[in-house]
Amino acid sequence: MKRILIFSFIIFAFSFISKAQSSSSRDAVEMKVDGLGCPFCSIGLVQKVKKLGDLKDIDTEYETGLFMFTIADKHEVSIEDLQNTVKKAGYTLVYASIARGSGEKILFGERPETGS
Amino acid sequence: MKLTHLISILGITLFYHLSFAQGPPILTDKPIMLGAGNSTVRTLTEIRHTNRGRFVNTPFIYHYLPSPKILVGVHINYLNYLFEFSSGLGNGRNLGDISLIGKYQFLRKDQTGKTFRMAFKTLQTLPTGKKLDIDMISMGTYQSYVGLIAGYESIKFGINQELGYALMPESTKDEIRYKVAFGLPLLKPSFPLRQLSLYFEYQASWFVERRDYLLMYAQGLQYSHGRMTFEMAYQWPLSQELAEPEIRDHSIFLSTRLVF
Repeated sequence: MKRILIFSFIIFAFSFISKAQSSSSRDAVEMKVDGLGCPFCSIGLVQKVKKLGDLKDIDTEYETGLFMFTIADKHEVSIEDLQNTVKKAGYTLVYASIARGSGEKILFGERPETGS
Repeated sequence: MKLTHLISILGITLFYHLSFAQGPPILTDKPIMLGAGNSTVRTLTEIRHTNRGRFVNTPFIYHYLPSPKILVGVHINYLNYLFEFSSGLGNGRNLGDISLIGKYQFLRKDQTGKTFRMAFKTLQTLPTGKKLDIDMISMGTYQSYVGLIAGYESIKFGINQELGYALMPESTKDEIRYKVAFGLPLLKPSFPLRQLSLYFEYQASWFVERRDYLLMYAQGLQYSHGRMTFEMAYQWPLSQELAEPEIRDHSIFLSTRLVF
């Protein structure tokens, strides 16, 4: 019984550590994009953003124009990358933040008041 | 006739009161483009009934955006026709006219959750089809169209309009064309994209040399899921003054489009 408990604890600890490592190895990106007037319009933006690298957790709030995703930090996405991507998609970037897995936060513009 | 007007008025009223957001119109062009490097493949099958017969056009449409403001593409029509016996033209199938399309977006005003855009459009149609005198499908004569497209899309409402002139040097069918489309989403905006929308579209054609006109209304339904969109529309004339053989009865449109 004691062995089973120890083994279970090791498994649990290992999975916890690996999950923590996994989340810390991703950058969280939030952008406010003007011009997203309809869900269909966002297809082009999503296509473009996906080319930045390994994306996950993509979400859009059409009412506020907020576009969020996480990206593996190995891609070292920058504000310039986001500006170019949004420009190529045919929209206007007014705000962006990149929260690095390391804790560093990079900002562009002022975050709009969205209530969230 | 009164019923069609009533449906149209009801449609517009619903649009103004209930609309939240919408996708691209089914039969009207739009100035909003989907980003540099993206492509769209579309089929837009039309089953058209006129006094002369029944025509089924199955086009292959390919659009590509070399930049966020420029669209180029090709429309290849393939026609299956069945003329009334009295016309003596019989039935058959053949390649229709091939058109080359170009659009340039020259105005873009973006705000949170809304955008207003305008674009120039040109459509150069090559006489690759038979001379069957079937508008926009198989005229067998060179045509040149230039137009202006304006579109306003917001999460509250959207409207797309197109005004243009089609020149046919070897025919008397020069045309001033105006289209307007309203969209009414039936589902709330969501991500990933999953949307069901109703469309109310009008097309007016004024054949300047013949002094003929045609006003049509189309009721459409569109379902978008991810990068795929399925559409259908039923179009009928509200008013027309055309040569007797060209009088329109109705058209059915079935469309699939894929963005990649």
